[in-house]
Amino acid sequence: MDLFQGFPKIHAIFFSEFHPIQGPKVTYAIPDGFIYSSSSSTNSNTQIPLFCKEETLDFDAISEYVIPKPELCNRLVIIGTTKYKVMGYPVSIENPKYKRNALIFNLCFVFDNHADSSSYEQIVTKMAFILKSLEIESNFLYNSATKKSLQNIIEQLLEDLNSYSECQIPINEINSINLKLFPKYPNPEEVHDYQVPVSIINLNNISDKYWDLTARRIIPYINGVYPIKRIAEIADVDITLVKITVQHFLYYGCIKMVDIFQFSNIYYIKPSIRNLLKDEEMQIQCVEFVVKQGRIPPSFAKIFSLYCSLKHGLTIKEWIKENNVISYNIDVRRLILFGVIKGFLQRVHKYPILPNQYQNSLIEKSENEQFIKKYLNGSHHYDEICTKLSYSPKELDEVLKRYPGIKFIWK
Amino acid sequence: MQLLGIVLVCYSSRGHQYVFGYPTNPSYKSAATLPSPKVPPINLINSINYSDNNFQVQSDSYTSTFSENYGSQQHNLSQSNQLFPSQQISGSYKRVSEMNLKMKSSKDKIRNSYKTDNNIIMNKKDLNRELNLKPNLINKMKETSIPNKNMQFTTNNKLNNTNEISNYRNHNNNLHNNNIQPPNRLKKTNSSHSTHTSIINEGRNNTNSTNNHHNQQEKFLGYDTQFLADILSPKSALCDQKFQLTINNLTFVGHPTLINSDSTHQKNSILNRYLKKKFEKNMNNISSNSNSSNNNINQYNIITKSDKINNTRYAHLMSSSPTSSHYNSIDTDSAGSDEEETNKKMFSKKDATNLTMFHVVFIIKPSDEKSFDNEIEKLYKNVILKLSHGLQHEQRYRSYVMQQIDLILSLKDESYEDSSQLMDCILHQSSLAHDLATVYDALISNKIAHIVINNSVDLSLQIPPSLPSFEDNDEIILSEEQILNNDASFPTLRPYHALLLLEDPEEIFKSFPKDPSPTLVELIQVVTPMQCFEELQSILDCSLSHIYKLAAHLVYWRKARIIDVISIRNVYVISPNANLDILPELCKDFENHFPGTDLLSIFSELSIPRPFSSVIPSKDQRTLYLEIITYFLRHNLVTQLHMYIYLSISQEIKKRTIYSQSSTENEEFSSSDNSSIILNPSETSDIENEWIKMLASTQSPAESALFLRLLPYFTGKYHVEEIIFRENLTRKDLKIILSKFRNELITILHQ
Repeated sequence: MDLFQGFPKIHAIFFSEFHPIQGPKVTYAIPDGFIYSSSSSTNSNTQIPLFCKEETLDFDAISEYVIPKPELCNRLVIIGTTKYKVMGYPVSIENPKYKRNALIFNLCFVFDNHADSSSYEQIVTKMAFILKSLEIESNFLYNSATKKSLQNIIEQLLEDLNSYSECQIPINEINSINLKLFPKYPNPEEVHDYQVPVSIINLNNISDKYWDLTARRIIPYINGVYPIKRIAEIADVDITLVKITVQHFLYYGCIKMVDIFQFSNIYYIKPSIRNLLKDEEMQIQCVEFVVKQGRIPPSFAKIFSLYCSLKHGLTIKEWIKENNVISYNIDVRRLILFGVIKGFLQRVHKYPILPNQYQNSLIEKSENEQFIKKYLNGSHHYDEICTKLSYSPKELDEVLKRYPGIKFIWK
Repeated sequence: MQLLGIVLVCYSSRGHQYVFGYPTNPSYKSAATLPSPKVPPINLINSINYSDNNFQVQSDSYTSTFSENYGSQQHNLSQSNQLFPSQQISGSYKRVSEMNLKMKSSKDKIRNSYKTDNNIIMNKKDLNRELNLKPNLINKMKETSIPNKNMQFTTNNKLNNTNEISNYRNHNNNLHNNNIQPPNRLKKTNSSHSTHTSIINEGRNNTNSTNNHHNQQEKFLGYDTQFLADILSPKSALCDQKFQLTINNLTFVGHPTLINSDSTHQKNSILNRYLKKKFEKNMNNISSNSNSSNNNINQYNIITKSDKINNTRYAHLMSSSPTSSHYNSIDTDSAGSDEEETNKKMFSKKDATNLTMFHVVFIIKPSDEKSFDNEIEKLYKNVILKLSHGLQHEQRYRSYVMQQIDLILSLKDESYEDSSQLMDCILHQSSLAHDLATVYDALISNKIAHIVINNSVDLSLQIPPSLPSFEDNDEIILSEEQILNNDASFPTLRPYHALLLLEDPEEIFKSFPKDPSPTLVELIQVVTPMQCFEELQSILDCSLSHIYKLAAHLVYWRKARIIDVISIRNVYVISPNANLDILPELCKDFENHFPGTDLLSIFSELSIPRPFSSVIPSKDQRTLYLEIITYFLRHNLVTQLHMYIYLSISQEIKKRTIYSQSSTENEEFSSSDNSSIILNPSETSDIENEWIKMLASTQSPAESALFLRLLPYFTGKYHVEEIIFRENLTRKDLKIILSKFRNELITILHQ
């Protein structure tokens, strides 16, 4: 998983609104002078520029995206300039009390052009909602006295979010702004029935009674052995709920998905095994992980050479026999698990395929066999079929033997 | 990254305009797993905010008010001769928007409501329209019936008394010229064809309503097109640079291109007006190549003098523009009149549109992936920028973009039964639209778009394939230093590598630009994956580095891949990335290529890693099987495994070293099993050196010498083929070493 690289820095925050006479304008901006308006009236020219021209942001260039046409309101809008990226959520409130029957405002955040600002999207949206409800409920922006406090709020927002990634700003007796940045991870991959969740961290320790019920129910069964389907059965939880929960764990990197361990499995080595050789800490970890409890550990070199002898076409069973693995005090399952989790071992799946010309050759006896046939098209591997039909691989072998012309592809 | 569509918008004297969007109905596949709050606009604006009811009503009312304004504006602008009573439009819109509020659910219902609304109003206003006869009708007639066209012909001939005959041959291109004709003339035409007219009028009613429809309904990805035109036409401060706008979850990327309106254009328009006057005074042979004339009216004289140059330039323009292919049929004798007419055309167009900005925008569905920004950058640099610059060039010298925009917009003013027919027509007639469609189609299928803008700017556009990462590299493992030194994003080429063409040579030639390098052509003709570059060098008689460059070029443009020479000694297994879902089609295709063989049987043979020779049943089938493996490699079905070697010093050797040395470091070797792996045999510590010496001394001097020579390669970085090549060995030599030192050398098979 990608390491989280911290939140991008906010360069500036500004509040912009549609002025009934002047049109779109920046009302408050922090830091001062960051935003300039190339065509605006001269009143701001008196102040000494704090930024050199290249670093400032020309408001006029982007004003149509900050205070946009109504169609663009109430959406998250991000516009890029050469140097910056401006993220805003234009809000428009219709009410006859406003001079133009509507108030349009936007609290915009300015980032570096290449910053990954996705974690701020929620913050910007939330701020827009907060300001909108403040305005609707208590005329926060309509009332010029309270509106002025926005300057300070913006200032605090900028400082707190940049330094602490969170902030809490009381606005009045009832309302306060509570924001916290969360890193955004990519969506987890789909979870299959036949996959086995392995916890990377101790889920028991971090969970408490306030956790989701399903999560608490299935955590005891996430032991690196049970596949999803089995967990659902044992924990007596609906399988879709189990999948969703597991996906949540995946999202936060608490678990990884591996295959069911069977002695008929085949694995091959990926080039990334070199990383294991370079990383001594990982080697120690590896030795500790794979040794049977309380026994004398084998040397790392031995383990490495055992890994290296895994290849296409060699089942774990044969591999144990060939290399006399039993004599090394090694827990084979953990050895394989370590390789799969670290990503240098890859399972070779077995795909049964019934060629077209044999499709009708078998006179069907049982319904189950009819059922099996639809899996024999090369898109389903043994693990999947076995889990679906509750067969062991051996039983499936037996069943498939009865199909003439069946072919197997290992991938 | 998912590309959803390409849109062309422009800013001209008629304001922001949406010109063209491809495809007609961009399908927006929103992943079901995505969190719903950000569900994007899919078809209708009305359906967007379904999830949050708060904004439902609001957004609807906005939509209607907005389109009310813009809808009518658009009418006035784009159909400048059609004087629609704006009340009528807004009225219908209002009703529609009311409807919308009531029934937000079905798009069809809404569409129907449009139809009925419009029709009712249309009928009421029928009479009104008769009086306000639109010149466009003429075009309509021309389009619909050929006999009419002839009639037209004569009328117009009388009408203008100029050499506009050929102009009408080119009627597709010249709608604007037609618009200039005085309306009363048209009325006559109408009355002379009264029966026709009535029919057409009726048709026109419908068309109008559909046109209305179009304008109102024309949406791209759920956005009103006029709205898109507005938001995608940034102020000049944001022009001529990367444009990136994200709205909810659509990202618009483009390069808004300004056309130097301030410097040359204004002056040109003065010049044009001046020239036009002269033209009307029957000055002969005026040509205005507006862009070449720089500054001054005074230069007019120079222009007339340099007429010949201009002539040729125009000739080029005319012959090169596919839309005006009619011109080619005109005799060379009439070139003069041609010229005049072109001038006229130019004038009229200049007057109609003064293009100041155009913007080709790519609409992308953003993803959460970290690489998203990178991908956008790639798309921008490799496709958008090149395309925009190409168009800018053509616009600057031949007003290409402007002509095409006028053409597309005029086609849109025509009536078509449905949008797909309109799209067909646009794609057929406008080379620019066709090019954009080509680019889109190629990009979504991850191919290369080969376009020739205006028959002169030759562009091949693609998002270049990225560097195969260390882990899922198919063929070549790069050592770290190679990766570090390799700033070009492609694997190192070695003399023992071969080039695998991914398509048949004929296919590749088809996609070539007009003047390919002769060596490249020859290379493609002779290359086979059974030949390494070294052999190729002598066949082609050119340097290795030159071959590398050509090969890299082909790889970059996805016409070839670098592989190890195909040989029966190689070990192949089914690639983990092989797509087995398409197995049935694959079987059929395979059957066609190699009749009598069975794909599945060979596949199951390839499940165990062994030299390919053992898969081949008999010797005379060897060539066939080599072809089969080529086929597999082309389709990414198999991957080659290589043998890598590590050095591990066993306990035994260590002990012997101690004994022979009466060592000081006894205590280190107390445990029973203590072999260790030498990660980098060329940089060893003293003790490791001793071990290696001891190890070497266990075999005969010749073998130990070879062993020591090969020592630096036992790092797992170099596969056997590489070692053999570098040290100029035979396979047999290496085999001996591997068997003699089998206890200490760990071999590993991987990609």
